[in-house]
Amino acid sequence: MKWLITNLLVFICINVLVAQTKEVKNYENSMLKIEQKIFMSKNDTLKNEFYLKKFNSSLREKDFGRSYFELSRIRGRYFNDSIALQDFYWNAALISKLVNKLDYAETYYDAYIDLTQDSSINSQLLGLLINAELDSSSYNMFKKNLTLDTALNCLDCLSLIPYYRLKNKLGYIWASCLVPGLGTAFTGDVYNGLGSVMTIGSASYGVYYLFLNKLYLSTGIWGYLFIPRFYFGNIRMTKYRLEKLEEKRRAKLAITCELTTKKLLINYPIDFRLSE
Amino acid sequence: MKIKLLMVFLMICFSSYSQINSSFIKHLVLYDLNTEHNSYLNSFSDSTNIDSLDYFKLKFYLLHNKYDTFLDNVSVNPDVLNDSSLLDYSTGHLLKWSISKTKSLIKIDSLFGMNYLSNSLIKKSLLLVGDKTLSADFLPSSLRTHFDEFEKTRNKKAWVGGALATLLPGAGKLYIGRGKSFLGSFMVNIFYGATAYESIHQFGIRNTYSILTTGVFSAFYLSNIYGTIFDLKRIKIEKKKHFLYEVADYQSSGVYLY
Repeated sequence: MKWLITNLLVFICINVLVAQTKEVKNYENSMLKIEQKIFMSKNDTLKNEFYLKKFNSSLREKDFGRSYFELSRIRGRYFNDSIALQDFYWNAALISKLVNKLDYAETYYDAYIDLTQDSSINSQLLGLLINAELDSSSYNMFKKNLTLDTALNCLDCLSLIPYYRLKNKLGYIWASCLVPGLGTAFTGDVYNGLGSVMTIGSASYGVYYLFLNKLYLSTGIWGYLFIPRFYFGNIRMTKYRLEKLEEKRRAKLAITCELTTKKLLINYPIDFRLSE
Repeated sequence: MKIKLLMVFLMICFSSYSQINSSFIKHLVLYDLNTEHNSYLNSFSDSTNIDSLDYFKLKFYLLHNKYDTFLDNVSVNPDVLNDSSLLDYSTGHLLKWSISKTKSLIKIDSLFGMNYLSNSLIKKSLLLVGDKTLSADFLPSSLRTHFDEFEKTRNKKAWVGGALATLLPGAGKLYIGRGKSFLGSFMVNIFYGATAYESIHQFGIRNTYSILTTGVFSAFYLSNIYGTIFDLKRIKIEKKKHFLYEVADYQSSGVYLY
């Protein structure tokens, strides 16, 4: 009985694997066949139809890198069906957003709005998601021109992330100038701060000790070689730590914002429009 | 039943006589459709009797810089070695990637092909960089300058550099062509030498501080000599690679795979 169950499980696993491989192969073969049709066709409108077919197939397979590539081959002027064109602009805006080509996403989104005048909450949400990452002025302009649903107000955080700056940065650097290592410690890196204080302190004491022993040449040379290097090195390290701290806080803000966006997307999902 | 058998036979015949469409491949290359290109070549099974399939597969490997696969397969399909432009393209690109692999291709060509590469610029250049007695007259003027640069470094002796660095810290760097490093090396050695001298003068050689400063000075002094010798070796390899890269560039310019 055990033997039978084990064999059955192995059989099922093999079948699942074979089915998956076949699925990938079928997708690749269908893409190749469409490409052959594109190669054979002389008519631009027909070619465009095949490009669209490839684009939609790659979207269905969630092969987004390829979708974006196929997108660049499609021309809006060759569409005969306005519904198909609307869907194409929507999908094009969404895929460009997903692959982070925001300028293209904005262009396709504008084309979609011009064509449909769509003011649904999903459309507004997509527009906000695209514009929020472009720059704050275009985001505000976009917001001004629409009567937005209040549920979407929480998305303001998206436009704020790129502009997040740490306050009183100069203060940290001044602290490092006055007491080497203090600014570094203020950024949260206490160990490196203490290390800097000790290094510069001991180097200075060593140089002073050489001076006391009338080793004037050594005082000059060791002093020239070590003290400026450690002192300015610490200031540079403080600047580096500040950048890291700023990045960390920005990332924290981004995570919070992402969670908000995810919640919103669960309530108002944005999907590809694949009518075929 | 007979009709079914006939149909199956016809299908087998039809599939075995299917041909590769080279203009379609050009279309795939032109539009950078790598996945489709791969699928298209794989759509012909290996058992299918198409002479050009291996040829197009080899070109595909070259196009995607899969030089190891290309070399593994080229010896199995020596017919490919009859295409002189493919050989020019492949040697030009292989040389930019690996000198030893280029030599392997030249060897494969001499063993299985028409020995087309035996008289090629690349083979002559490879021999030239390995043998000082050979003349460089065959090189075109644009490559001659790069070769002269390489030859200038090749003739430099490591022991001369080392001796100069021993006599005057930094002079070895000047000799090997690293003029900018001269002042740095010289000043560092002067600084540490001065501190060592001062401490020995003040406290004597057995003092801890004197031992420390002398140790630091010795380390910098010796590393300057070692660095000169090591650097010269590196520069020689660098210049050789640079010259061969230029040869590869010259050879592959204007030669297209498709």
